[in-house]
Amino acid sequence: MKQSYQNHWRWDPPYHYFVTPAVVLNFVLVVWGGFGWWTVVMAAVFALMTRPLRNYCLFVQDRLIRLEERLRLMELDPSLRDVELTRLQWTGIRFASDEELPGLVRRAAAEKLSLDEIKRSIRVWREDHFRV
Amino acid sequence: MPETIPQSYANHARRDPWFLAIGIPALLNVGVMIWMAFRSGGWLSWWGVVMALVLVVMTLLVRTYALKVQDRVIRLEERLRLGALAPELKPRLDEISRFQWVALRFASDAELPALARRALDEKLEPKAIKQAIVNWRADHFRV
Repeated sequence: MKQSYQNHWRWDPPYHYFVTPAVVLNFVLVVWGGFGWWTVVMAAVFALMTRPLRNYCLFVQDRLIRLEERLRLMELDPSLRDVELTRLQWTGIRFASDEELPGLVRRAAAEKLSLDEIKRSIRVWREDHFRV
Repeated sequence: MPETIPQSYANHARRDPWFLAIGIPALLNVGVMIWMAFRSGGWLSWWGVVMALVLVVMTLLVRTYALKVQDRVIRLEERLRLGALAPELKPRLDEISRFQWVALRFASDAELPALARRALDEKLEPKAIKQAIVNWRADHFRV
């Protein structure tokens, strides 16, 4: 299926459909079962641990996306080399095709577009399948 | 992998002892939990089996997520290297797959453009790419 605004969200089934619901349910079971306060603490630790497991990699990936997009932008429009965007703005910008990239970056910086506004402004979606 | 032995096709695969030290007990734990569930029979003990599986999946994810980001870095590194060595290939670089990039990183500068062209034209498998490399470019800086 072609990637677009409607379906670009990345769902990783082992993480989102197995690990996450299981640790949440585990926490509920431990609280409800009354095994003592320490098991509640450890169930919470176990549940919370799943977040950095994914988010640390996502942050590094976002930093890499920023570098990729800065390099792409330098070739397309060197006048934008010092442009400052936020982390989330860069992650949205990557889905823009070469033709619309410089214009969209300029708009994103000037109008402080949100991630969703950036994605919604994209006409030709540049697919990204290589990600965590 | 100690850097005293030169890296080549034969020994380039990365085995991380930490990963095995965590993964093997986590896997054994699934068996232990199943055994305990059969012995006690309570439904709560079957939940232990589920959580043992969660631990195994989490162990795998810890590594595969980092590997995936690393492979994306490799793609950018090789894109830049290939872009400098063979600018005429630039329009076709999007067709190179994740594992083709990962294999191409082991090719020396001299053979990279020709090998990348072959990988594109003949849709070479990553393994075939690695086997075609004459001068192995060692990579020790990886997860």
